[in-house]
Amino acid sequence: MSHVFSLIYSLRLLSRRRFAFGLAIALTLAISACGGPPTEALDAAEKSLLSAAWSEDCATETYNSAQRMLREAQEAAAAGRHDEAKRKAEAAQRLAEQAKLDAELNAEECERRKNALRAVEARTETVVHNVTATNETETFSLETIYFDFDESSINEGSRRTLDQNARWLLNNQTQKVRIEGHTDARGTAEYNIALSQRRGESVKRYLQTLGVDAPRMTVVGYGKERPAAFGDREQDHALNRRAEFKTH
Amino acid sequence: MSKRHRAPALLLAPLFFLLLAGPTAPMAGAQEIVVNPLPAQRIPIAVADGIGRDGADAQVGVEIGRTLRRCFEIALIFEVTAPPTFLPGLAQEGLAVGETNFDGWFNSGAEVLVKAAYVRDGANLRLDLRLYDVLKNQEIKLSYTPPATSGDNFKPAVYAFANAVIKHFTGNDGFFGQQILAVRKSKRGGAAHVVSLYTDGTGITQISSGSGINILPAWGPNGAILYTSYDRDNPDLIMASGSERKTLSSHSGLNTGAAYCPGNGRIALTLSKDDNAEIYTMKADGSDLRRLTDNSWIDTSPAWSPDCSRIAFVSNRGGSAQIYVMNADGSGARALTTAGRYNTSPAWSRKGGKIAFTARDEYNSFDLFVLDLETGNVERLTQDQGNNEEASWSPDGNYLVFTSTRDGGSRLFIMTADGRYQAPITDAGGFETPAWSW
Repeated sequence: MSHVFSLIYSLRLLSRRRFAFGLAIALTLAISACGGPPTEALDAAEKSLLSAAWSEDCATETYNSAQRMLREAQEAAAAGRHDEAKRKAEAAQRLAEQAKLDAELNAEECERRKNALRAVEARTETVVHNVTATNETETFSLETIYFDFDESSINEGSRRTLDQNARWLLNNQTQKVRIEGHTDARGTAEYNIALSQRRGESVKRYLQTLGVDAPRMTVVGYGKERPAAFGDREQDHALNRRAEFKTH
Repeated sequence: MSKRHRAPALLLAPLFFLLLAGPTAPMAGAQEIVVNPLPAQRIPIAVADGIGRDGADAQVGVEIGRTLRRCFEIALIFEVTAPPTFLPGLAQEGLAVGETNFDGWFNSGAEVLVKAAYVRDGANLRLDLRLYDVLKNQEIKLSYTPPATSGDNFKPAVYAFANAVIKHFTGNDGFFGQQILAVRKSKRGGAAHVVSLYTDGTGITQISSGSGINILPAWGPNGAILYTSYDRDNPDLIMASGSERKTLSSHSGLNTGAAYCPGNGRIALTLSKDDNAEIYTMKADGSDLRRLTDNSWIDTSPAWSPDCSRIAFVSNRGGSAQIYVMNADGSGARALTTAGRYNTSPAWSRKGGKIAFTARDEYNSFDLFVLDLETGNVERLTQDQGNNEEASWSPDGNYLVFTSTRDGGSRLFIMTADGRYQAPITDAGGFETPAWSW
């Protein structure tokens, strides 16, 4: 647009009459520019995405959607579908701003999720290196176990964790335990609550078979209401499909 | 004054082209639309700001215009046109047909026009809301009785007018002034609260209190609100009426997803007191508990048929989550869906005959579908626009409210029962499980 204004400016210097003529040319240029590629919208979207880049880890799905939308906008612009490009660029900008907002809101939980991820990775290593370790200590805490999508059955890895949890519960007979079932963020609220309750119940049943008395255990299903991880990546979902143990 | 001032032909050419090329339903809008409830395309409608008479506060006129525009954006069958900028005089027109520059409005892209005037009458505002057919240069007389406005609250008058306009063009009653319950979360993992709001997304009122989890709201008897609260570390069923909060069911484990049927006065709900999610019914005071399902799988999410004789629900007894139906006494259970591995959250149309539900499709996105009970046909209502979930029917069965992530966040949207027209009703995200009032 700047060349249009400089054109007006230079013509204005020449004479008033020519100014009107210059304005007409400028308007013609401006009108024809409306049909061109939406460079401003695309630039604005790119800028928003750049400034939201740090939110990729904390608002992954929204950020990825923004990225996808911008890509589609650029493709549309390249193919000459300017209206679509403009619409998509604006949508990308909105999504990037939303991602930034979500990430700010989730900052605390996002940090927790990152820590949880690190903890899971660390534990995996521990399991590999200390298969034969059997020492029980007073500081042992009951370990969280994880489930597959839409599953409440206990897999092989979780059995080993539950065996350890059961040993601790048998050694600490005065402790009562609350088993909290959870699901990932996907799917409908009511079914997720029933699924999370079922996860808690299968854990309770398994611990019963190992000798833990049923009256010491209560089960609460939280559905998707209390996530441990806040992103929308597969790792986040995996961390959320879980049963936690609270002693009291 | 009333001499026609058409804009230069060159500028108008595209408009004429559109009018000629598109289906002519909007043209017929003023006459015969009653036969066909939904116009073939959105009707372009212009909404002028309200004109204050006798020195009434001008800001009120802007508010009235804004509320009217919002209603027509959400009414689904309209396309609200941008305010005309080339003829500023249009905004100051009076209500009389003779004072209306129909050509000016037509050139701004409108085929239908709404104007408002208001005057202060003692303590109350008096509104005069009018509808015009821009193509025929005449006013359209609406058959409805405008409600009296109490104080400055002009919304009931605007809602009644918008409803009358919808009725004029579709033959169906409008839905403005009705309420929706939903869950609102300030952020993921934060407090979840039950709120009520109007169908235009305004008037959000918090029903639950505290900083905990309050979810799965449903309408109970006499405007009471049922929901599940974790305030006592267990999902208990609460009934809220006025300022009273009564715990209706607090068995250990689930007391979730209450569904009330006005026809028999009973509440269906999910309890897991017997170590597994099962469906029960009870009277609205919590007495006379009866168990309907009995197996080792998940049975949850009950939804009554309009005559209270049957209940649709979700079970994974066949190995995956599917929609089932049974009689109100638990007999005769059978699967209604078989395709896919995740069909949940059934909502039975209050006109009967149809059940909307949420399914996870082959691309792992969640979308809304509707099952025709007579033919067994399943039709898709949403596609390729984020996740669309948790539908609830309008009282007349002509609309659905649902959540969609298409614009980021989880916003409330409404759509026509066939999915053709869809519009957001909330500006912000964080909404879940809407329930439309009776």
